[in-house]
Amino acid sequence: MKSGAALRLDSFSPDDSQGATPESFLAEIRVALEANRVAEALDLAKRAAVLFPDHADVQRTHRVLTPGRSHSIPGHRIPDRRDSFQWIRENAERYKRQWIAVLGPSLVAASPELEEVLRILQEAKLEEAPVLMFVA
Amino acid sequence: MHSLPILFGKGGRPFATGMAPYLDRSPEVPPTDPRIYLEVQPGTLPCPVLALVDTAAPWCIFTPAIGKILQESFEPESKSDVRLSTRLGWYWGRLYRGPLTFPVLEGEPMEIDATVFLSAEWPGDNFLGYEGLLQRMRFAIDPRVNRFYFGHLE
Repeated sequence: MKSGAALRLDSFSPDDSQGATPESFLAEIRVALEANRVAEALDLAKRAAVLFPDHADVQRTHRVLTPGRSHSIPGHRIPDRRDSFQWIRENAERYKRQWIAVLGPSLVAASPELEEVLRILQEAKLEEAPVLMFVA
Repeated sequence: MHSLPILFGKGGRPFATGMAPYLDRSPEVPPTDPRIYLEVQPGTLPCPVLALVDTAAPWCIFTPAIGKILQESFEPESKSDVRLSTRLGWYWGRLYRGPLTFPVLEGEPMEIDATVFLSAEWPGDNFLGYEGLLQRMRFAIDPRVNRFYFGHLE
């Protein structure tokens, strides 16, 4: 159910703010987000962005909520993970609440701290990217 | 970069330009929970991490340890926290915008500007959500060989 700024702007016009302020829009967006009304939050953000082009907080909220674009990029190739996934299926349970890094059929690093695993990976200078997993 | 399709849709139109293997969770996991793990490399994380594909979640969510890394480069939606409902309950945190990269076994890697929810209290796994990410790509799976295909919307 719409309310506040959303109700007042049902027949939206850039020239017709009807007294809505950036703060009232941001408050309405917060309400919508907390209610998981994502489409409504995005609609409010779009309207606010048009009405208040110079308001930094409004523009930032609009930028973050607006669906992003995709593009192809080079690099980022991974090896076939069958061996790694098989190791994870058979062994990950033993590393509950830990970060594990697996490459091929082998465990490369394991620790409750992600930073330690990343440090080990950096020192190992592996030729291929291991798969990283948090065993929840 | 001109993308060559590796999976075609209706009428021979490109559907997917990249493919990666996925890990499916053990049968002991409740059937109501997400089952597919896919590799994703968020922001400046130096290697890909497994995250659960969850079309029931609006946003991507990452563990606090990864969140700490992402907060250094991702753009926050606001200066204050918001309380969001998730499959594990209500959590305070912030929404951020930043790039997520999907590495590939075949085809072309893809990067998407995603919206992610980061909370220092988050006790769960990494998730790839719908409105914040999955809705911005085409995807399909081949469960016979555990392959996840993805491509651009436009």
